[in-house]
Amino acid sequence: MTWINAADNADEKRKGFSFSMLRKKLKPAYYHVWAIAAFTVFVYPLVWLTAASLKQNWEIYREPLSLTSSAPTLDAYVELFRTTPFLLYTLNSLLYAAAGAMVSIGFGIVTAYGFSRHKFPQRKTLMIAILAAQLMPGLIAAIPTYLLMREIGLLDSRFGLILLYGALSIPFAVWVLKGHFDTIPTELDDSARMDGASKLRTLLQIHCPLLLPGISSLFLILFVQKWSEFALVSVLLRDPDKYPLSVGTYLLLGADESDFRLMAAASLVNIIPILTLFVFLQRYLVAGLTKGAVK
Amino acid sequence: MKSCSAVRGFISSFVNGPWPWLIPALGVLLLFRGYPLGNQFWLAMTDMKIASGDASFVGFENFSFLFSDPNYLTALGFTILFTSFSVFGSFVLGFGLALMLNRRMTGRVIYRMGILTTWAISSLIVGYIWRLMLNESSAGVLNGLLEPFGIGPVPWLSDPNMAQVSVIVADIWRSTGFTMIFMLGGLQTLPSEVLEAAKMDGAKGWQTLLYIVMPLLKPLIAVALIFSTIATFNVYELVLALSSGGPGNATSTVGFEMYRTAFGDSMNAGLGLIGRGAAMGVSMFLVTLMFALIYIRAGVFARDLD
Repeated sequence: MTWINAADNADEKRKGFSFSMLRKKLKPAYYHVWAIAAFTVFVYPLVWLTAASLKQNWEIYREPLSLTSSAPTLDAYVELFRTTPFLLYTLNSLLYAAAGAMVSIGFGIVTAYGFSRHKFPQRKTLMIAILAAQLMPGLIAAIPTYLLMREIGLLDSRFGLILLYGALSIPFAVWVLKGHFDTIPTELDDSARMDGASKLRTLLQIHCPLLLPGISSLFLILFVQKWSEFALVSVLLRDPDKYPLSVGTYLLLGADESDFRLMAAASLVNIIPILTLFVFLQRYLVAGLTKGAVK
Repeated sequence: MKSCSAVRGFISSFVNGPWPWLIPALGVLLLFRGYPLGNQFWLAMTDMKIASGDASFVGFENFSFLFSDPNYLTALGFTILFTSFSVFGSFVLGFGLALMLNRRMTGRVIYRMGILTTWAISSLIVGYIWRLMLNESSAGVLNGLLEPFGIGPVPWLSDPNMAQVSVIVADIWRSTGFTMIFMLGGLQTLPSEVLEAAKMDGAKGWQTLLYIVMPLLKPLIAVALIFSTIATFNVYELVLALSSGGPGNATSTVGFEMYRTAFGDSMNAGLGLIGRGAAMGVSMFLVTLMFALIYIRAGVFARDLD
């Protein structure tokens, strides 16, 4: 029983009238109407977009509402991957998202270990400073970050971008992973030390396997974040061969609005991998995200 | 001999202490986060251009320019309007949906999943999806849906006021699912005894909500509002994709204006006024910092510090 049912019985006692009985009977249906309406608002645009990408362009203009086509075709996708470097963009996105997430996690594990296994006077201050850094979106410092990358010669560099992506998510990784470290009993560390294992070896061979579920969900969240990133990468890379999907899509869709079907297909290529991950791994994503957000 | 062992003791306590674990990440953070955020204050007081590296100090000239610049002031005004409506709208909708989908009802997992889907899509692509849906030619699906009701065609993106509404609606569409999941998590932690007791006392649904559920969830509500305020205030990609700040500059935001000023309209070619852009960046930083400090003061996360 949830709180929202709480009114029902009380109502009935007071009025003793069949109207409230009727309302009670109707209520489940009533909630489903709202739920279906909300579901439609959030999902219909994606279904419509998919349909548009499979239609003929003239069909889109003649019957924009129709979700079916007289001759469904994958031509838009074929055209997208043949005439534009979208395959290369996709591979670049994959590289930046996966490598960036790995860098954050690598730094995150070591740092979270330090915070979890040591007590020292500056710990609280440092953790709060790291939290403050986590709360600052990358966009705010886009200009000085661009200049920094130019000064240290990492402008237009894949390595530089990955390093920056990794660095920007260290705070989030540290907070999430410290939470996980704190659940591992220190007795494990002690017994490993008795057996002559160094701290580093304890971390790698005992802690890391235990942290694996936490690390996986963190990886997913960071991957989705980096995959979607546009603001920074759009000014940091110049060589078109290095563009990720977000920048490629901006260039394609910003140029002209004539080929509706192609635009729908390009948008979908951006979100299909993420939605696939999302549908199958939603539980992990949400668990990891709310954990990081609440703390 | 004595000082030698003192040095050795210091070194060994250093090596066994926390610092070897922390210094690498702190160094990287200082370089990629700390330095740019600090440097921006200096840049904002120079007349640096993107093409040339040298710059001279101009004091607060950039800031005083901003406060008389109609483009910046319009953008600031719309950003505040956009943030207020979007944060409020997505909270009310998200919390409402969370309350409804916390009930035992058939298919609630499917409903939740469908509503959360949009959260996984980047702002840039959300902007493009809505631009396609709001298209004012015969291909636009929203005008097509309204036509049978005798409404429209609505100038979704070509009328300044409608364009502002469109950008806000698109952002609510993007962020509601997250608020819903976040608040659902909170609702599930509520002790059922308290709710039962309220029911026994004959409290109505809305009374339970207002006097029991909301006070219990106050910290979580604060976190949800602060997070979405920070994300919404610093909007850039959504506006770039959906309306390019137009028509005119009706939907330009501070983030959008900063990019246009520093990097130009189309990526790397354009105005290139680093100093003035940095001043806008400082203004965004200060607003964000204010909300971040409120969050930190609230100390919701404090249990993790011990």
